[in-house]
Amino acid sequence: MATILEMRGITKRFGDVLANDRVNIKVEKGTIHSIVGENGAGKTTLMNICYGLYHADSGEIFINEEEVEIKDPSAAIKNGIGMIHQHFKLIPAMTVAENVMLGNEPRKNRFFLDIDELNGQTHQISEQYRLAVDPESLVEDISVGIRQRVEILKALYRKANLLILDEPTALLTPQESEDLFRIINRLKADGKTILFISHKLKEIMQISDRVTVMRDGKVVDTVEKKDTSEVKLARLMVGRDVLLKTAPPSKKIGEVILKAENLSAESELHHRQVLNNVSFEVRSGEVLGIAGIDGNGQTELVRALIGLQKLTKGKISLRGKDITHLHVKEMRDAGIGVIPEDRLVEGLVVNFDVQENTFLGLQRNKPFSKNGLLDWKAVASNAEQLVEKFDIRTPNITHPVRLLSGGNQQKIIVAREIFHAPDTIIATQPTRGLDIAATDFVHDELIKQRDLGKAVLLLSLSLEEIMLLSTRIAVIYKGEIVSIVNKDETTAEDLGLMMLGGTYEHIPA
Amino acid sequence: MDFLEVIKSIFTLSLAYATVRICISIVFAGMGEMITERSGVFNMGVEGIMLMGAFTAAVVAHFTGSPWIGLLAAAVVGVLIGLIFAFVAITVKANQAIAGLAIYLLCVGLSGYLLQVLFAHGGNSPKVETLPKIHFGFMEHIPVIKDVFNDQSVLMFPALLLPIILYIVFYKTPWGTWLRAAGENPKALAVVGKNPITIRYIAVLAGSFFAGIGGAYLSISQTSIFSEKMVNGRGFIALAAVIFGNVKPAGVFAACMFFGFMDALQFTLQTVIPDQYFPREVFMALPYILTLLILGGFIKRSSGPADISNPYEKESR
Repeated sequence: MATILEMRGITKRFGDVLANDRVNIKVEKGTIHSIVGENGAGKTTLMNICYGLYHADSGEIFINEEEVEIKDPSAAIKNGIGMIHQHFKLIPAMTVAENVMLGNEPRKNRFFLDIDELNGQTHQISEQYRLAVDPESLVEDISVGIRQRVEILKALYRKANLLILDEPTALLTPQESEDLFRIINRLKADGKTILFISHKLKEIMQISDRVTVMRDGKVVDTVEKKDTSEVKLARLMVGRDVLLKTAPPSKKIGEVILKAENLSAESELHHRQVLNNVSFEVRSGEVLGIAGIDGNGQTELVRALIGLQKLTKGKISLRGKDITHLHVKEMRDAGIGVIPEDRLVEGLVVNFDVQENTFLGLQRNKPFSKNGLLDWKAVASNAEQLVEKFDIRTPNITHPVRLLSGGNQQKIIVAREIFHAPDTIIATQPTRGLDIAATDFVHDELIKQRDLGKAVLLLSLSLEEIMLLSTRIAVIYKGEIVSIVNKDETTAEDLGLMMLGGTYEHIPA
Repeated sequence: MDFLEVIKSIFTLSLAYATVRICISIVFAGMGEMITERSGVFNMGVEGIMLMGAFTAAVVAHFTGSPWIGLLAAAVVGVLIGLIFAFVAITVKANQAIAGLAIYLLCVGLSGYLLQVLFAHGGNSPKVETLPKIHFGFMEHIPVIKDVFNDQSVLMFPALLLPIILYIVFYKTPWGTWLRAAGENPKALAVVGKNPITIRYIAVLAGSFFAGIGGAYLSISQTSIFSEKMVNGRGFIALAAVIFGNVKPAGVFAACMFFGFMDALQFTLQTVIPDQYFPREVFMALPYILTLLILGGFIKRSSGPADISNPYEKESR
């Protein structure tokens, strides 16, 4: 079979980090070739080099066995490469067709957009591959799954023969993923080549013809799908035997700790209802997972629970005590710890050092404050303890947090919040961007806290994570809790359907 | 004085004439800044560029005897200052508000200094030739129109056409799509092979070009002299108009007209209502107070480009 893409000896450095180290990869025409590896293994960097977004420090790229220089995305497009990025490169305020044609719009009379042609061509490609996309919808009005198809349309419009999909299923429900796989298979049947980037081994085994495994910026191995298995891939990927495991069931579920009753809230900007009669309770010794597609009210819910989002009605109580109208600081002091969505924005002051970050928000509390002044000795000894206990890899406690890895940064937040929160831990996307080892660590810590009798509320966009950790699962859709079920009595498919609002129309067969 | 009569003596056709006359410079600056902001760049230096435009136009008109050459020179100087701003804000990725403020301060100092150097007596330039006013015979017989639009500066026509042209460019041409895309999500442009940096540069230079013309209008058309700080906040008002008008041609144009009207109104009030009844400083402050009030109420609801004020980083991870 002919080789469509070959990358030889690709090396790329970001400062001190060697993101790609003499990487070699060969992709056969008309196949589905997967690249697996942990976060930070260098998969996305390699693909960005292939697409001309980054420049390799050294190495060569061959397309159809001819050496090419890909200095920018237009060169990649000219060489028949299309890339569907993990974070979509779309403009929400424009229509589907405008997004598809951006940069290569059909014109009439030389100067003007040909809107009919714009919509017509988009419709035609959508029909050809049965993608079921409406060219005239605004991108901001369509779902994540459809947005992804718009990205695929963009590549097809530019006559891509090689499509790179970077973590395409990260934010999809099981139903949407299934559709994506159908589309990928159709593209393959049409002679296109697919480069599929992922760290989800199950789907890799489902869809690939061949798999390349990357670790620490290097290619570890390239294997045929038929000669490998999930377990073997995991071993190659991490270097040791780990597959994230389902948490053991809750041991002892006690009294209600955190209780939300009929929480409703509006967005500040357009007075849109963002939370609608949200009620749930989290008991001592359990993890309540909140599953949902991004943007269905999760952010507002967390903000409401820590006193940052104004409620139009509803009541929040902690151990039976009404805390609805408390100030953020008072809520924290009442016993709520939060692992925020974005550690760099809300969780840490990245230019502060480790010890300062270990007591952020607790400056006025004992033992850190003594007669209104900071007691740096207490701060340091607490920091030393946390670093020891949570295995935070830092040269010393006065090392700036921005220089630590994502996993170690996250450990600081987990350590701090667990240390100060006697009752309740709200964890939002607690393992976003972490590698398997760090993810495993955070999962273990949350389960440990659960077994110590704390109430854990877990919000995650990863349905997999929700399924691994939760005792019970609530599904949030358009600001409403549509269902609360026991983990053991549901499946990922059922949850996925609820996350989509109860109905889902598959793409035409 | 009878109340009704006072009202009548305020709201006259000459107030409408003055509104159009005053808003021309704000429209140029506002339309220019709208182009810039659509591309995702916020140029707070508009006031300064207008000031240098006004200064250059008067000086060049004085030495060449031609206000047309003065106008051209003002536009060129506007673009040159825009280039400095673009370099600092886009290439060096400095904070755009600070860069704009620096440009403003630079222009205030530079125009004042050069004025001193060139004419030795501070404060004003000599009187210069102005751009022609256009008088249409056919308008003489149309009531209202003849009072408001006849005998306005020749620059009124491009000022009135600009919002229409920009509407077409923004929404009916590929370039407009790219301009808006640069302001919404520059990475989306980069991945389809268009360089957002080029587009932002062009947008800043176009915006500065029009700010230069807006400034020139003040010294070689609305008046016939350059005096220090003569722009008097119109550049900042143009910034407000862009926000108020939601960075869309019709909205920004209407906002510019509104601010022009408020300015014309305060002039009229100063003359109609004698000083002993009411301090005229209050009227002079009126347009600015209104700007604050309106922005306070509207800025939250304004929905401009999503990526405004963020420098574009190519290899950001």
